[in-house]
Amino acid sequence: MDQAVAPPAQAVRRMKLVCPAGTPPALRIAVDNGADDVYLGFKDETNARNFAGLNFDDKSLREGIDYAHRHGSQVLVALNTYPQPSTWRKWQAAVDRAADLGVDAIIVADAGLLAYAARTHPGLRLHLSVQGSATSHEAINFYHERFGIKRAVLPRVLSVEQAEKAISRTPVEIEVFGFGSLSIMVEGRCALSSYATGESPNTHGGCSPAKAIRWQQSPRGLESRLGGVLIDRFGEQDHPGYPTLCRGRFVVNGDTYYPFEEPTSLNTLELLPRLQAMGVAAIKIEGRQRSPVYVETVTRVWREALDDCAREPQRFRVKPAWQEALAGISEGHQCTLGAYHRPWK
Amino acid sequence: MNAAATTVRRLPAPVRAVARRLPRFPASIAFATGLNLTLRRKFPAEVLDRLEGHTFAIVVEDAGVELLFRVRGHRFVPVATAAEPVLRFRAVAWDYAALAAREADPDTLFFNRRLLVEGDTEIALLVKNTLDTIDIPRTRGLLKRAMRAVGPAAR
Ligand code: SF4
Repeated sequence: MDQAVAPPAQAVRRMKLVCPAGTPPALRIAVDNGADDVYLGFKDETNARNFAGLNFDDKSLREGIDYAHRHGSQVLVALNTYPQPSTWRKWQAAVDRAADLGVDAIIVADAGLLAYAARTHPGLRLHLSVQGSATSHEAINFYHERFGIKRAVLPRVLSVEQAEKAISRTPVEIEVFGFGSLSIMVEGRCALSSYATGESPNTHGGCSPAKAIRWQQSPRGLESRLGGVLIDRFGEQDHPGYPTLCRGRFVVNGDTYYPFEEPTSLNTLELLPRLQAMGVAAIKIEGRQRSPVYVETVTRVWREALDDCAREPQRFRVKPAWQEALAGISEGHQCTLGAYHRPWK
Repeated sequence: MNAAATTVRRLPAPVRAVARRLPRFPASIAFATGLNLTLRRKFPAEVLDRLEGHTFAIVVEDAGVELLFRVRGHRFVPVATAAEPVLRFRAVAWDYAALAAREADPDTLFFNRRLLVEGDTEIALLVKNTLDTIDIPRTRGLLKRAMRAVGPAAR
Protein backbone atom coordinates (compact mmCIF):
# COMPACT_ATOMS: atom_id res chain seq x y z
CA MET A 1 0.00 0.00 0.00
CA ASP A 2 1.17 3.53 -0.67
CA GLN A 3 2.30 5.59 2.19
CA ALA A 4 -0.70 7.33 3.76
CA VAL A 5 -0.99 10.89 2.61
CA ALA A 6 -2.90 13.33 4.75
CA PRO A 7 -5.77 14.89 2.81
CA PRO A 8 -5.26 18.59 2.10
CA ALA A 9 -6.56 20.61 5.01
CA GLN A 10 -8.62 22.86 2.76
CA ALA A 11 -10.46 19.88 1.18
CA VAL A 12 -13.31 20.43 3.63
CA ARG A 13 -14.36 23.84 4.67
CA ARG A 14 -13.95 24.44 8.38
CA MET A 15 -17.34 25.02 9.98
CA LYS A 16 -17.81 28.27 11.84
CA LEU A 17 -18.93 28.36 15.44
CA VAL A 18 -21.78 30.82 16.01
CA CYS A 19 -22.37 31.59 19.70
CA PRO A 20 -25.09 33.49 21.56
CA ALA A 21 -24.61 36.62 23.67
CA GLY A 22 -27.37 38.20 25.72
CA THR A 23 -24.97 40.45 27.60
CA PRO A 24 -21.53 42.06 27.09
CA PRO A 25 -19.77 39.59 29.44
CA ALA A 26 -21.29 36.70 27.45
CA LEU A 27 -19.98 38.25 24.23
CA ARG A 28 -16.47 38.59 25.61
CA ILE A 29 -16.52 35.05 27.01
CA ALA A 30 -17.71 33.66 23.66
CA VAL A 31 -14.90 35.52 21.87
CA ASP A 32 -12.30 34.45 24.45
CA ASN A 33 -13.30 30.82 24.07
CA GLY A 34 -13.07 30.76 20.30
CA ALA A 35 -16.44 31.73 18.78
CA ASP A 36 -16.05 32.69 15.11
CA ASP A 37 -19.32 34.63 15.14
CA VAL A 38 -21.28 36.02 18.08
CA TYR A 39 -24.94 36.82 17.56
CA LEU A 40 -26.98 39.21 19.69
CA GLY A 41 -29.97 41.56 19.61
CA PHE A 42 -31.10 45.05 20.54
CA LYS A 43 -33.04 45.76 23.73
CA ASP A 44 -36.49 45.57 22.13
CA GLU A 45 -38.95 43.39 20.23
CA THR A 46 -36.92 43.53 17.00
CA ASN A 47 -35.34 40.24 18.08
CA ALA A 48 -36.68 36.90 19.27
CA ARG A 49 -35.13 37.03 22.76
CA ASN A 50 -36.79 40.16 24.02
CA PHE A 51 -36.37 39.81 27.80
CA ALA A 52 -35.96 42.44 30.50
CA GLY A 53 -32.34 43.27 31.26
CA LEU A 54 -31.05 41.31 28.28
CA ASN A 55 -29.45 42.47 25.03
CA PHE A 56 -27.47 45.46 23.80
CA ASP A 57 -27.81 49.21 23.47
CA ASP A 58 -25.70 51.21 21.01
CA LYS A 59 -22.86 51.78 23.46
CA SER A 60 -22.51 48.16 24.58
CA LEU A 61 -22.84 46.98 20.98
CA ARG A 62 -20.12 49.36 19.79
CA GLU A 63 -17.81 48.10 22.55
CA GLY A 64 -18.75 44.52 21.78
CA ILE A 65 -17.97 44.88 18.09
CA ASP A 66 -14.67 46.48 18.94
CA TYR A 67 -13.75 43.66 21.33
CA ALA A 68 -14.79 40.95 18.87
CA HIS A 69 -12.91 42.50 15.95
CA ARG A 70 -9.75 42.95 17.98
CA HIS A 71 -9.84 39.22 18.69
CA GLY A 72 -10.77 38.07 15.20
CA SER A 73 -14.48 37.32 15.77
CA GLN A 74 -17.50 38.73 13.98
CA VAL A 75 -20.71 40.17 15.36
CA LEU A 76 -24.11 39.34 13.89
CA VAL A 77 -27.23 41.23 14.94
CA ALA A 78 -30.52 39.35 14.99
CA LEU A 79 -33.44 41.44 13.68
CA ASN A 80 -35.50 38.32 13.33
CA THR A 81 -39.04 39.21 14.31
CA TYR A 82 -41.73 40.51 11.98
CA PRO A 83 -42.57 44.22 11.84
CA GLN A 84 -46.23 45.16 11.58
CA PRO A 85 -47.50 48.07 9.46
CA SER A 86 -47.67 50.22 12.60
CA THR A 87 -44.18 49.24 13.82
CA TRP A 88 -42.33 49.15 10.50
CA ARG A 89 -40.21 52.22 11.24
CA LYS A 90 -38.80 50.73 14.43
CA TRP A 91 -37.47 47.69 12.56
CA GLN A 92 -36.21 49.86 9.71
CA ALA A 93 -34.36 52.05 12.21
CA ALA A 94 -32.86 48.94 13.81
CA VAL A 95 -31.38 47.91 10.43
CA ASP A 96 -29.87 51.39 10.06
CA ARG A 97 -28.47 51.31 13.59
CA ALA A 98 -26.83 47.93 13.02
CA ALA A 99 -25.34 49.08 9.72
CA ASP A 100 -24.08 52.37 11.19
CA LEU A 101 -22.46 50.61 14.14
CA GLY A 102 -20.52 48.42 11.74
CA VAL A 103 -21.87 44.94 12.49
CA ASP A 104 -20.61 42.14 10.27
CA ALA A 105 -24.06 40.88 9.29
CA ILE A 106 -27.69 41.11 10.25
CA ILE A 107 -29.92 38.08 10.66
CA VAL A 108 -33.33 38.89 9.22
CA ALA A 109 -36.59 37.01 8.71
CA ASP A 110 -39.02 39.48 7.14
CA ALA A 111 -38.86 39.81 3.34
CA GLY A 112 -39.75 43.50 3.47
CA LEU A 113 -36.93 44.17 5.89
CA LEU A 114 -34.50 42.15 3.75
CA ALA A 115 -35.50 44.25 0.75
CA TYR A 116 -35.02 47.46 2.72
CA ALA A 117 -31.59 46.36 4.01
CA ALA A 118 -30.41 45.22 0.57
CA ARG A 119 -31.54 48.47 -1.02
CA THR A 120 -30.34 50.88 1.66
CA HIS A 121 -27.14 49.17 2.81
CA PRO A 122 -25.84 47.23 -0.18
CA GLY A 123 -22.55 46.49 1.59
CA LEU A 124 -24.24 44.94 4.63
CA ARG A 125 -24.07 41.16 4.77
CA LEU A 126 -27.49 39.52 5.11
CA HIS A 127 -28.25 36.21 6.79
CA LEU A 128 -31.68 34.65 6.54
CA SER A 129 -32.91 33.92 10.07
CA VAL A 130 -34.31 30.58 11.12
CA GLN A 131 -37.45 32.64 11.70
CA GLY A 132 -37.62 33.09 7.91
CA SER A 133 -38.75 29.43 7.76
CA ALA A 134 -36.87 28.56 4.56
CA THR A 135 -36.92 24.78 4.51
CA SER A 136 -36.03 24.11 0.86
CA HIS A 137 -33.30 25.16 -1.57
CA GLU A 138 -35.98 26.84 -3.69
CA ALA A 139 -36.90 29.16 -0.86
CA ILE A 140 -33.26 29.84 0.05
CA ASN A 141 -32.33 30.54 -3.57
CA PHE A 142 -35.25 32.92 -3.88
CA TYR A 143 -33.91 34.99 -0.98
CA HIS A 144 -30.47 34.80 -2.55
CA GLU A 145 -31.61 36.02 -5.94
CA ARG A 146 -33.86 38.75 -4.59
CA PHE A 147 -31.84 40.07 -1.67
CA GLY A 148 -28.38 38.58 -2.04
CA ILE A 149 -28.41 36.71 1.27
CA LYS A 150 -25.04 35.13 2.06
CA ARG A 151 -26.13 32.64 4.68
CA ALA A 152 -29.36 30.91 5.72
CA VAL A 153 -30.14 29.28 9.06
CA LEU A 154 -32.13 26.07 8.64
CA PRO A 155 -35.11 25.42 10.92
CA ARG A 156 -34.60 22.70 13.51
CA VAL A 157 -37.26 20.51 11.93
CA LEU A 158 -35.21 19.20 9.02
CA SER A 159 -33.57 15.78 8.95
CA VAL A 160 -29.91 15.43 7.97
CA GLU A 161 -30.95 14.19 4.51
CA GLN A 162 -33.21 17.17 3.97
CA ALA A 163 -30.49 19.58 5.08
CA GLU A 164 -27.97 17.84 2.79
CA LYS A 165 -30.29 18.18 -0.17
CA ALA A 166 -30.76 21.90 0.46
CA ILE A 167 -27.00 22.44 0.80
CA SER A 168 -26.19 20.66 -2.44
CA ARG A 169 -28.54 22.89 -4.43
CA THR A 170 -27.77 26.36 -3.19
CA PRO A 171 -24.77 28.69 -3.37
CA VAL A 172 -25.83 30.18 -0.01
CA GLU A 173 -23.85 29.22 3.13
CA ILE A 174 -25.95 27.02 5.38
CA GLU A 175 -25.97 27.34 9.15
CA VAL A 176 -27.61 24.67 11.32
CA PHE A 177 -28.42 24.46 15.00
CA GLY A 178 -25.93 22.36 16.94
CA PHE A 179 -26.89 22.76 20.54
CA GLY A 180 -29.51 24.22 22.87
CA SER A 181 -33.21 24.32 23.50
CA LEU A 182 -35.39 22.78 20.84
CA SER A 183 -38.24 24.31 18.91
CA ILE A 184 -40.32 21.65 17.28
CA MET A 185 -42.30 23.82 14.88
CA VAL A 186 -40.93 25.54 11.84
CA GLU A 187 -39.81 28.74 13.50
CA GLY A 188 -41.48 31.86 12.21
CA ARG A 189 -44.66 29.93 11.51
CA CYS A 190 -45.47 28.94 15.08
CA ALA A 191 -47.99 31.03 16.96
CA LEU A 192 -48.80 28.34 19.54
CA SER A 193 -47.70 30.40 22.53
CA SER A 194 -50.00 33.28 21.56
CA TYR A 195 -52.99 31.17 22.65
CA ALA A 196 -51.71 31.42 26.22
CA THR A 197 -49.87 34.75 26.19
CA GLY A 198 -51.88 36.82 23.71
CA GLU A 199 -48.62 37.69 21.95
CA SER A 200 -47.01 35.96 19.01
CA PRO A 201 -43.30 35.21 19.36
CA ASN A 202 -42.91 36.29 15.74
CA THR A 203 -43.91 39.86 16.45
CA HIS A 204 -43.12 40.31 20.16
CA GLY A 205 -39.95 38.27 20.45
CA GLY A 206 -40.63 35.48 22.94
CA CYS A 207 -42.58 32.24 23.42
CA SER A 208 -42.71 32.64 27.17
CA PRO A 209 -42.72 36.34 28.04
CA ALA A 210 -41.83 36.78 31.72
CA LYS A 211 -45.02 38.65 32.51
CA ALA A 212 -47.03 35.59 31.49
CA ILE A 213 -44.99 33.11 33.57
CA ARG A 214 -45.86 31.99 37.08
CA TRP A 215 -43.89 29.47 39.12
CA GLN A 216 -45.72 28.28 42.20
CA GLN A 217 -44.99 25.72 44.86
CA SER A 218 -48.21 23.79 45.48
CA PRO A 219 -48.85 20.77 47.70
CA ARG A 220 -48.66 18.64 44.56
CA GLY A 221 -45.33 20.02 43.37
CA LEU A 222 -43.74 22.99 41.64
CA GLU A 223 -46.16 24.30 39.03
CA SER A 224 -45.36 26.40 35.99
CA ARG A 225 -48.07 28.42 34.30
CA LEU A 226 -48.09 30.46 31.13
CA GLY A 227 -50.89 33.01 30.88
CA GLY A 228 -52.70 31.03 33.57
CA VAL A 229 -52.44 27.73 31.65
CA LEU A 230 -50.84 24.96 33.72
CA ILE A 231 -47.79 23.91 31.67
CA ASP A 232 -46.27 21.31 33.98
CA ARG A 233 -46.01 20.15 37.57
CA PHE A 234 -42.69 18.91 38.89
CA GLY A 235 -42.06 16.51 41.76
CA GLU A 236 -38.97 16.63 43.96
CA GLN A 237 -36.93 14.57 41.51
CA ASP A 238 -38.11 16.26 38.30
CA HIS A 239 -36.13 18.87 36.42
CA PRO A 240 -38.17 21.88 35.39
CA GLY A 241 -37.68 23.42 31.97
CA TYR A 242 -38.71 26.65 30.27
CA PRO A 243 -42.50 27.00 30.36
CA THR A 244 -43.52 27.06 26.71
CA LEU A 245 -46.74 25.48 25.46
CA CYS A 246 -44.85 23.10 23.19
CA ARG A 247 -43.05 21.64 26.22
CA GLY A 248 -46.24 21.34 28.27
CA ARG A 249 -47.52 18.15 29.88
CA PHE A 250 -51.21 17.86 29.22
CA VAL A 251 -54.08 15.44 29.70
CA VAL A 252 -55.01 14.03 26.30
CA ASN A 253 -57.76 11.39 26.15
CA GLY A 254 -57.18 10.57 29.81
CA ASP A 255 -53.39 10.20 29.50
CA THR A 256 -51.00 12.77 30.95
CA TYR A 257 -47.91 13.25 28.79
CA TYR A 258 -45.97 15.68 26.61
CA PRO A 259 -48.05 15.66 23.41
CA PHE A 260 -45.72 18.00 21.51
CA GLU A 261 -42.22 17.62 22.86
CA GLU A 262 -40.38 16.41 25.95
CA PRO A 263 -38.30 19.15 27.55
CA THR A 264 -34.99 18.10 26.05
CA SER A 265 -32.05 19.86 24.47
CA LEU A 266 -30.59 19.43 21.03
CA ASN A 267 -27.01 18.16 20.93
CA THR A 268 -25.52 17.19 17.57
CA LEU A 269 -21.86 16.66 18.53
CA GLU A 270 -21.91 13.12 17.18
CA LEU A 271 -23.12 14.35 13.78
CA LEU A 272 -20.22 16.78 13.29
CA PRO A 273 -18.19 14.78 10.73
CA ARG A 274 -21.34 14.22 8.67
CA LEU A 275 -22.39 17.87 8.85
CA GLN A 276 -18.90 18.95 7.86
CA ALA A 277 -18.76 16.54 4.93
CA MET A 278 -22.17 17.76 3.74
CA GLY A 279 -20.79 21.27 3.48
CA VAL A 280 -22.50 22.91 6.45
CA ALA A 281 -20.88 26.34 6.78
CA ALA A 282 -21.69 27.16 10.37
CA ILE A 283 -23.01 25.63 13.59
CA LYS A 284 -25.28 27.71 15.76
CA ILE A 285 -25.52 27.47 19.52
CA GLU A 286 -28.87 28.46 20.99
CA GLY A 287 -29.18 30.44 24.23
CA ARG A 288 -29.02 34.22 24.21
CA GLN A 289 -31.13 34.10 27.38
CA ARG A 290 -28.47 32.06 29.19
CA SER A 291 -25.69 33.21 31.51
CA PRO A 292 -22.01 33.84 30.67
CA VAL A 293 -21.22 30.54 32.42
CA TYR A 294 -23.39 28.65 29.92
CA VAL A 295 -21.82 30.51 26.99
CA GLU A 296 -18.34 29.75 28.28
CA THR A 297 -19.02 26.03 28.73
CA VAL A 298 -20.72 25.53 25.37
CA THR A 299 -18.24 27.63 23.40
CA ARG A 300 -15.24 25.87 24.94
CA VAL A 301 -16.61 22.39 24.23
CA TRP A 302 -17.79 23.14 20.70
CA ARG A 303 -14.58 24.94 19.75
CA GLU A 304 -12.58 21.89 20.73
CA ALA A 305 -14.99 19.54 18.97
CA LEU A 306 -15.05 21.58 15.74
CA ASP A 307 -11.25 21.80 15.71
CA ASP A 308 -10.93 18.05 16.26
CA CYS A 309 -13.43 17.40 13.49
CA ALA A 310 -11.71 19.73 11.03
CA ARG A 311 -8.33 18.16 11.77
CA GLU A 312 -9.26 14.50 11.51
CA PRO A 313 -12.90 13.89 10.66
CA GLN A 314 -12.41 10.14 10.24
CA ARG A 315 -11.05 9.76 13.72
CA PHE A 316 -13.48 12.15 15.36
CA ARG A 317 -14.89 10.81 18.62
CA VAL A 318 -17.20 12.63 20.99
CA LYS A 319 -15.32 12.92 24.27
CA PRO A 320 -17.25 11.91 27.39
CA ALA A 321 -15.98 15.07 29.11
CA TRP A 322 -17.71 17.19 26.43
CA GLN A 323 -21.00 15.39 26.89
CA GLU A 324 -20.74 15.67 30.64
CA ALA A 325 -20.08 19.41 30.48
CA LEU A 326 -22.99 19.95 28.08
CA ALA A 327 -25.41 17.71 29.99
CA GLY A 328 -24.67 19.78 33.09
CA ILE A 329 -26.10 22.93 31.53
CA SER A 330 -28.88 21.47 29.39
CA GLU A 331 -32.54 22.08 29.81
CA GLY A 332 -34.35 18.90 30.78
CA HIS A 333 -31.10 17.02 31.40
CA GLN A 334 -31.59 14.97 28.28
CA CYS A 335 -30.12 15.55 24.88
CA THR A 336 -31.48 14.42 21.53
CA LEU A 337 -30.56 14.68 17.89
CA GLY A 338 -33.93 16.33 17.32
CA ALA A 339 -35.24 16.05 13.79
CA TYR A 340 -31.78 15.45 12.31
CA HIS A 341 -32.30 11.82 13.10
CA ARG A 342 -35.85 10.92 12.28
CA PRO A 343 -37.24 7.81 10.66
CA TRP A 344 -40.22 9.65 9.17
CA LYS A 345 -40.01 12.71 6.95
CA MET B 1 -15.89 25.11 35.45
CA ASN B 2 -19.42 24.42 36.40
CA ALA B 3 -18.36 21.82 38.92
CA ALA B 4 -20.72 23.67 41.19
CA ALA B 5 -23.55 22.11 39.23
CA THR B 6 -22.67 18.54 40.05
CA THR B 7 -22.51 18.14 43.81
CA VAL B 8 -24.41 19.94 46.54
CA ARG B 9 -21.99 21.41 49.03
CA ARG B 10 -23.28 22.43 52.41
CA LEU B 11 -21.62 24.47 55.09
CA PRO B 12 -19.73 22.32 57.60
CA ALA B 13 -21.86 21.42 60.63
CA PRO B 14 -20.05 23.69 63.13
CA VAL B 15 -20.47 26.69 60.81
CA ARG B 16 -24.14 25.83 60.36
CA ALA B 17 -24.60 25.65 64.11
CA VAL B 18 -23.04 29.08 64.61
CA ALA B 19 -24.89 30.63 61.65
CA ARG B 20 -28.25 29.46 62.94
CA ARG B 21 -27.68 31.27 66.23
CA LEU B 22 -26.70 34.58 64.65
CA PRO B 23 -29.24 37.37 65.00
CA ARG B 24 -31.02 37.93 61.69
CA PHE B 25 -31.24 41.66 61.31
CA PRO B 26 -27.47 42.35 61.62
CA ALA B 27 -26.91 39.78 58.87
CA SER B 28 -29.33 41.69 56.63
CA ILE B 29 -27.55 44.94 57.49
CA ALA B 30 -24.17 43.46 56.57
CA PHE B 31 -25.58 42.01 53.35
CA ALA B 32 -27.26 45.25 52.24
CA THR B 33 -24.05 47.15 53.01
CA GLY B 34 -22.11 44.69 50.89
CA LEU B 35 -24.58 45.13 48.04
CA ASN B 36 -24.28 48.91 48.23
CA LEU B 37 -20.50 48.68 48.13
CA THR B 38 -20.15 46.18 45.29
CA LEU B 39 -23.23 46.38 43.10
CA ARG B 40 -25.20 49.58 43.56
CA ARG B 41 -23.19 51.75 41.20
CA LYS B 42 -23.14 48.98 38.62
CA PHE B 43 -26.91 48.67 38.46
CA PRO B 44 -28.37 50.80 35.64
CA ALA B 45 -30.66 53.55 36.95
CA GLU B 46 -33.65 52.24 35.00
CA VAL B 47 -33.25 48.84 36.66
CA LEU B 48 -33.11 50.40 40.13
CA ASP B 49 -36.23 52.41 39.20
CA ARG B 50 -38.02 49.17 38.37
CA LEU B 51 -36.90 47.56 41.66
CA GLU B 52 -37.73 50.65 43.76
CA GLY B 53 -39.89 49.92 46.79
CA HIS B 54 -39.69 46.15 46.41
CA THR B 55 -38.45 43.83 49.13
CA PHE B 56 -36.25 40.82 48.39
CA ALA B 57 -35.50 37.76 50.50
CA ILE B 58 -32.41 35.62 50.16
CA VAL B 59 -32.74 32.41 52.12
CA VAL B 60 -29.45 30.66 52.83
CA GLU B 61 -30.84 27.21 53.48
CA ASP B 62 -27.86 25.56 55.14
CA ALA B 63 -27.18 28.54 57.38
CA GLY B 64 -30.84 28.86 58.33
CA VAL B 65 -30.64 32.57 57.55
CA GLU B 66 -33.04 34.81 55.66
CA LEU B 67 -31.53 38.08 54.43
CA LEU B 68 -34.08 40.79 53.75
CA PHE B 69 -33.57 44.07 51.98
CA ARG B 70 -35.56 46.67 50.10
CA VAL B 71 -34.57 49.00 47.28
CA ARG B 72 -35.23 52.59 48.38
CA GLY B 73 -33.86 55.72 46.74
CA HIS B 74 -31.59 53.59 44.53
CA ARG B 75 -29.98 52.03 47.62
CA PHE B 76 -30.24 48.60 49.22
CA VAL B 77 -31.75 49.02 52.68
CA PRO B 78 -31.95 46.16 55.22
CA VAL B 79 -35.37 45.33 56.63
CA ALA B 80 -36.25 43.29 59.71
CA THR B 81 -39.39 41.57 58.48
CA ALA B 82 -41.33 41.29 55.24
CA ALA B 83 -44.71 39.64 54.85
CA GLU B 84 -44.57 39.23 51.09
CA PRO B 85 -41.27 39.97 49.36
CA VAL B 86 -41.50 40.45 45.59
CA LEU B 87 -38.93 37.68 45.22
CA ARG B 88 -37.61 35.01 47.53
CA PHE B 89 -34.53 33.03 46.54
CA ARG B 90 -33.57 29.79 48.27
CA ALA B 91 -30.23 28.03 47.90
CA VAL B 92 -27.27 26.90 49.99
CA ALA B 93 -24.39 29.29 50.70
CA TRP B 94 -22.02 27.49 48.35
CA ASP B 95 -24.37 27.83 45.38
CA TYR B 96 -24.90 31.54 46.04
CA ALA B 97 -21.14 31.99 46.16
CA ALA B 98 -20.75 30.00 42.94
CA LEU B 99 -23.37 32.16 41.23
CA ALA B 100 -21.70 35.37 42.40
CA ALA B 101 -18.28 34.11 41.31
CA ARG B 102 -19.66 33.01 37.90
CA GLU B 103 -18.76 29.43 38.64
CA ALA B 104 -22.35 28.22 38.26
CA ASP B 105 -25.12 28.82 35.76
CA PRO B 106 -28.36 30.08 37.34
CA ASP B 107 -30.66 28.27 34.90
CA THR B 108 -28.81 25.01 35.58
CA LEU B 109 -29.22 25.44 39.34
CA PHE B 110 -32.88 26.22 38.71
CA PHE B 111 -33.37 23.15 36.46
CA ASN B 112 -31.69 21.10 39.22
CA ARG B 113 -34.00 22.50 41.92
CA ARG B 114 -30.99 23.91 43.74
CA LEU B 115 -32.03 27.50 43.23
CA LEU B 116 -35.68 28.08 44.07
CA VAL B 117 -37.26 31.36 43.06
CA GLU B 118 -40.69 32.42 44.28
CA GLY B 119 -42.49 35.55 43.21
CA ASP B 120 -42.54 37.92 40.25
CA THR B 121 -40.92 36.21 37.25
CA GLU B 122 -40.43 39.44 35.33
CA ILE B 123 -38.42 41.01 38.15
CA ALA B 124 -36.54 37.76 38.67
CA LEU B 125 -35.46 37.76 35.01
CA LEU B 126 -34.55 41.43 35.15
CA VAL B 127 -32.37 40.83 38.21
CA LYS B 128 -30.75 37.73 36.70
CA ASN B 129 -30.00 39.41 33.38
CA THR B 130 -28.72 42.57 35.07
CA LEU B 131 -26.38 40.54 37.28
CA ASP B 132 -25.16 38.78 34.12
CA THR B 133 -24.15 42.14 32.61
CA ILE B 134 -22.21 43.33 35.66
CA ASP B 135 -18.44 43.04 35.80
CA ILE B 136 -16.91 42.89 39.26
CA PRO B 137 -13.69 41.05 38.48
CA ARG B 138 -11.94 41.83 41.77
CA THR B 139 -14.81 40.70 43.96
CA ARG B 140 -15.24 37.61 41.79
CA GLY B 141 -11.53 36.80 41.99
CA LEU B 142 -11.62 37.03 45.78
CA LEU B 143 -14.72 34.85 45.95
CA LYS B 144 -13.18 32.22 43.70
CA ARG B 145 -10.08 32.09 45.83
CA ALA B 146 -12.14 31.85 49.00
CA MET B 147 -14.20 29.04 47.48
CA ARG B 148 -11.07 27.14 46.57
CA ALA B 149 -9.74 27.57 50.10
CA VAL B 150 -12.87 26.39 51.90
CA GLY B 151 -14.02 23.98 49.17
CA PRO B 152 -12.74 20.79 50.80
CA ALA B 153 -14.59 21.65 54.01
CA ALA B 154 -17.95 22.23 52.31
CA ARG B 155 -19.71 18.92 51.82
S1 SF4 C 1 -43.99 27.62 21.09
FE1 SF4 C 1 -42.40 26.06 21.06
S2 SF4 C 1 -42.45 25.23 18.98
FE2 SF4 C 1 -43.52 27.20 18.92
S3 SF4 C 1 -41.90 28.67 18.32
FE3 SF4 C 1 -42.04 28.63 20.59
S4 SF4 C 1 -40.46 27.16 21.20
FE4 SF4 C 1 -40.87 26.82 19.00
